[in-house]
Amino acid sequence: MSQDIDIAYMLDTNVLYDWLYAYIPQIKLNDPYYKNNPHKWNNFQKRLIGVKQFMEKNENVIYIPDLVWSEFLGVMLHKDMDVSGDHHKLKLHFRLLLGVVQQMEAVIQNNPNIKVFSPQSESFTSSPYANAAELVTDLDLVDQRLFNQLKNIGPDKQKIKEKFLDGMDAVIVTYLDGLAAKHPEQRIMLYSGDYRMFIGFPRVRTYWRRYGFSQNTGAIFSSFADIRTKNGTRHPASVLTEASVKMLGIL
Amino acid sequence: MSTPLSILFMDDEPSNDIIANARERLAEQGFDVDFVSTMSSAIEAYYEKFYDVFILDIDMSHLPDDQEGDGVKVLKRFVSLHNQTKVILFSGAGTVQHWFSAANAHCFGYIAKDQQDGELDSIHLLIEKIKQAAKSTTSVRANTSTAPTHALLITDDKSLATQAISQIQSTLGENWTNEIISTDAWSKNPPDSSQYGIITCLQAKFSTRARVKQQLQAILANSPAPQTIIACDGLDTERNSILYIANQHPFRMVDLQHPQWQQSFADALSAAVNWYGKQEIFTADADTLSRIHITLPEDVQSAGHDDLSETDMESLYTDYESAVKENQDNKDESL
Repeated sequence: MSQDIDIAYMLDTNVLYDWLYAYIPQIKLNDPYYKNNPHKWNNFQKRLIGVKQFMEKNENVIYIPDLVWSEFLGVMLHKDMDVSGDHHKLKLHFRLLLGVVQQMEAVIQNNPNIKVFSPQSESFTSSPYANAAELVTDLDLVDQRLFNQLKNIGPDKQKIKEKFLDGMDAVIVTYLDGLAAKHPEQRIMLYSGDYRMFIGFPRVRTYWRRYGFSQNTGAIFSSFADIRTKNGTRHPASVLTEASVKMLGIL
Repeated sequence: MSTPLSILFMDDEPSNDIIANARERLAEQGFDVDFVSTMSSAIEAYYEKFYDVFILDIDMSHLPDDQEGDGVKVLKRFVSLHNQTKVILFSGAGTVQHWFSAANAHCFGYIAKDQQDGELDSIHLLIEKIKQAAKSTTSVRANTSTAPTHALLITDDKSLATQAISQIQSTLGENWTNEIISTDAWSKNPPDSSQYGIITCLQAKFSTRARVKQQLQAILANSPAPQTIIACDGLDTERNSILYIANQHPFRMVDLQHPQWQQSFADALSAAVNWYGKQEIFTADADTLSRIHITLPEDVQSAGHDDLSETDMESLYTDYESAVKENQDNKDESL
């Protein structure tokens, strides 16, 4: 008989984007990417429903790093600000967008399982920024296997560029490490919509074990609001059991 | 030259003398005023143009409208869309229930059309309230500290105090301690409000003494830390004092005349703890959100999985299981 284990999640920024879209999917209706492809539109809708359910129905603890929340707000509000009209046009845009963000804040505030944390609130023993700088400057981090995996992502097999742990991603990974170190009783899964992060995370965890990277960590691709096991059954991410975790081999 | 203050003015009696007069005097102030006579138009306008202040009538039954309800319903809708929206109710037909529900929906102001303050008429009071709203810089920065588990009850009524303490204990639990103080003692020597998570002022009728009003105003100015709950008798005869309090932005107002006031008080206590140090957020309904049409940054639009090919998406499950296997292999390797 399977036994529930204490799995907690830590969000990547892209999950917050999807969660926001889940409140206002109509704004993507005229996007040519979806408008001309009902199949993609349906998949998009399913993904948003999955993320919204994950955020609002989940009974496990969900940690949101302060870094992730502020990166989300910064990108949403201050990247690509529309200055084509007058000042009031921009303020209207801010107000409407904040109206949607406010819905998310209400869920965060009212759900005791969702916790926004900072290195200070969790008493991290070292700076996640310094650790992140070390992580991305380690020449051996991207090994041959990860290199091959990254090379094969996407439709263009002749591509010349890929990305991994770019921007704030390395800091997010070190936040996960710091958080997991403070909660050894929990298994903390990075819940991310970044396929590269999902593919590459196991390498970070195992390779950096020598520097003390917390091993009670893992990564889940947010497209899988539920997780398919090897025998084909699916487990909602919110109710992972010891048995399913062993079967998935994610820890 | 600064942009004039933009105002949306909603009233279903545009030819009424007070409304015509108000529009004229607002224009004289240099405000940029758009006038609408239905709730539907006001709601539409919220999504189309930025307004610094919204002025809403309550009784909107004089003209046909697709929207049901009244101005308080529109207030709730606007605040649910953005809790910093400044709404002033300007009404001649508000009831006791409207006064309390408007305050609890966090209206910025409530002016009765027949209200007077000495020589000052209601339009003057409205203009002052608009100017106050424009200057108001409600901090959106949340106070992240948790509420001190200490409640202060200001009251002179022993019977009400007993009932209120019972509610505080049953709602907030054993961790919370209580302190009761009389209005007189409090107004003469008010304790430091920062040591309390919640301050409740419980008076059937408010004292009109200047000292009491001044102290009450001082406490309400510190909201949302501590959160302030005002409980009083909801009587027509007490309109001026109730509206005075409503205009000071308490966290909650509880009508002691209501048979279920103890339940309302308990709800107010729970919400006050939850929103300590923060501006309360009301969630918007699906229709309210479905009208939002905005453009988000390109990076965000392609976030997540959209840059993966369809083949990638189709084979994602297979890839996932491979990754799981890799993960397992790495785990074994590292042991």
